[in-house]
Amino acid sequence: MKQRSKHGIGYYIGLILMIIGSFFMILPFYWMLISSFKSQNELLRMPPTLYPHKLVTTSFKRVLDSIPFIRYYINSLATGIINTVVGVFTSAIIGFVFAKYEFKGRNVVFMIILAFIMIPYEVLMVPLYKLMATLKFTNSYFVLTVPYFVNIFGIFLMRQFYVDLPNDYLEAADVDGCGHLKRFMMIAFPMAKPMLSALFIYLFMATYNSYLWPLISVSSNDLFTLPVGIAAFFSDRGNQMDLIMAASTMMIVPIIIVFSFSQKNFVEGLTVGGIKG
Amino acid sequence: MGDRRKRNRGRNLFLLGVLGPTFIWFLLFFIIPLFSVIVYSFTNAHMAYSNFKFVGFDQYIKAFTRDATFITAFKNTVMAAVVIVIFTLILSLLLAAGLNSLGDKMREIFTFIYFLPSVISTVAISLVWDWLYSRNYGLFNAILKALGFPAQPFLTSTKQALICLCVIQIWAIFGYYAVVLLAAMRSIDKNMYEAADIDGAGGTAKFFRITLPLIKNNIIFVAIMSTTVAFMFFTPVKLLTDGTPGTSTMVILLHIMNKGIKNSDMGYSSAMSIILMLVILFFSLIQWILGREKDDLDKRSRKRGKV
Repeated sequence: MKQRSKHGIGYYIGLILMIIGSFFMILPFYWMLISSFKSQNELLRMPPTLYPHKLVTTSFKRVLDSIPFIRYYINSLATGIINTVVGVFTSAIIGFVFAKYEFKGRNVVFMIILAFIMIPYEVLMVPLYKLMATLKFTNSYFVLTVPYFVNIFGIFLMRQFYVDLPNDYLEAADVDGCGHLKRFMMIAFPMAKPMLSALFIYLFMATYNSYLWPLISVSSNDLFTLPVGIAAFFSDRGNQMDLIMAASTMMIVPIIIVFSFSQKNFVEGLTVGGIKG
Repeated sequence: MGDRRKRNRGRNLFLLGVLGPTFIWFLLFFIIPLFSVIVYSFTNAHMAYSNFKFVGFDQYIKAFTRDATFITAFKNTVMAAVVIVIFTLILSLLLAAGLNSLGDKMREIFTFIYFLPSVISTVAISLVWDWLYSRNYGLFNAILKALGFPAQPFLTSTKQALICLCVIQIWAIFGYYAVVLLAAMRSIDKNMYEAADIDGAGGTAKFFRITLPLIKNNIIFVAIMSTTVAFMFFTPVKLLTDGTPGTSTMVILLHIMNKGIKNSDMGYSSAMSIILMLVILFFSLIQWILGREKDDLDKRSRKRGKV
């Protein structure tokens, strides 16, 4: 047990520094929030007001009137959920196959897949765009979903999980004459639940915040996801920061709310590996 | 016998059903693009035409001799990467040590605050920082003025813009890596510290003699990860300055996208992509080797009985 009285001066210096740091971490979010509630007049006042003296919500309404914000939202949520559900499933089943089935060249293939982790996907984007354009897949929901359907890191994670899983469970199913797919769906998949929830958050955030690929592969307004839509809105109306801040606020508030309710899952899911991009 | 064969068929069907689509996906989204980027880098391939000519290493030579923007982008990226990696490492280590010293409740609260940018879209983060940096109406200049300093141009200055963009990136990622390092610190055996307490070691000594060496591999992991992120520096740059003023904030990835997507020059953008990939591999390798070498030295000196 830690005793409070044991804290030395270093503890308090650290605490004070962390409190000061917290101020800088929260400041941009606070500024975004209050800027979106200020009137245009108040927004450009110098020195700026530290909170909205007159609370107005017109900027939110004007955002909704100027861009199909709801549409962006639905696009982001729909592609996010589809990609995540499919991605979790493919990670699990591919990881399972590499962990529990012997077949020719298994280890070599797995090593090759692992080596792909070293290659940053940004580097492949121009030729991937060319390939998608040749196949006439660009500017469709196809490019917003299918490229996210398999995740190397997810495969790696799930294989590790299934390698550590004792064979006994699966052998019991064998005796019952269970089919292979059924055995995976009924036994192996549900068993990985704790791992899958972390993977779920990891994959969802990867799609939801994805910017570069949707930016280059999609050009029609109807297909924009939130990051691309808001970025386009910014290059269009960059001088009207009340609108930009209102749009940004609407984009991030739901995520912050979900994050605050399941902080542990988010931290686990996102630090399970991979990079924020 | 027949039963066995039937079962084998079921097994093979299952394997085929899983590995077949997986192979097609990898072929489409990984193998062909990877193969293409290598082949294109030796050609004059253009987005709009299907035929192309092999030009040897010309695209690579062009990058380093005939394209001033690439040289600038290369320098800027390396500089940004050095700044981002060093500050991210220092800040995340300090924060991790700080968080590690707290009780459970406080640690959770501070983790929430510092981790927050990691769940937020980089686009939204960049936009609010743009507003904070605003020359005439920004909060930062208001604070400077209130303190009696002259207003700064920030993103519109060739001298300040790149650093300002790096600050955004560091702010956005160091909390994430602090949490990664914190997990490593918390897995250190408490007995180690108790033994040091008996020896009368202070907090600083314990941090440098016990904590740091024991989480060395995690620090290297963070260094490699943040190096990759830093070399892929893109979103804040694209949104806030798009390489301007002049080419003072041009970074490699932005130059690749400009040439490859905007100008449809696939051959050249592929060559730059390969260069970028090699640079990242090179830096990752150095960090990895530096991490390994110390281990080996330790082992060797221990064998000789020096330590």
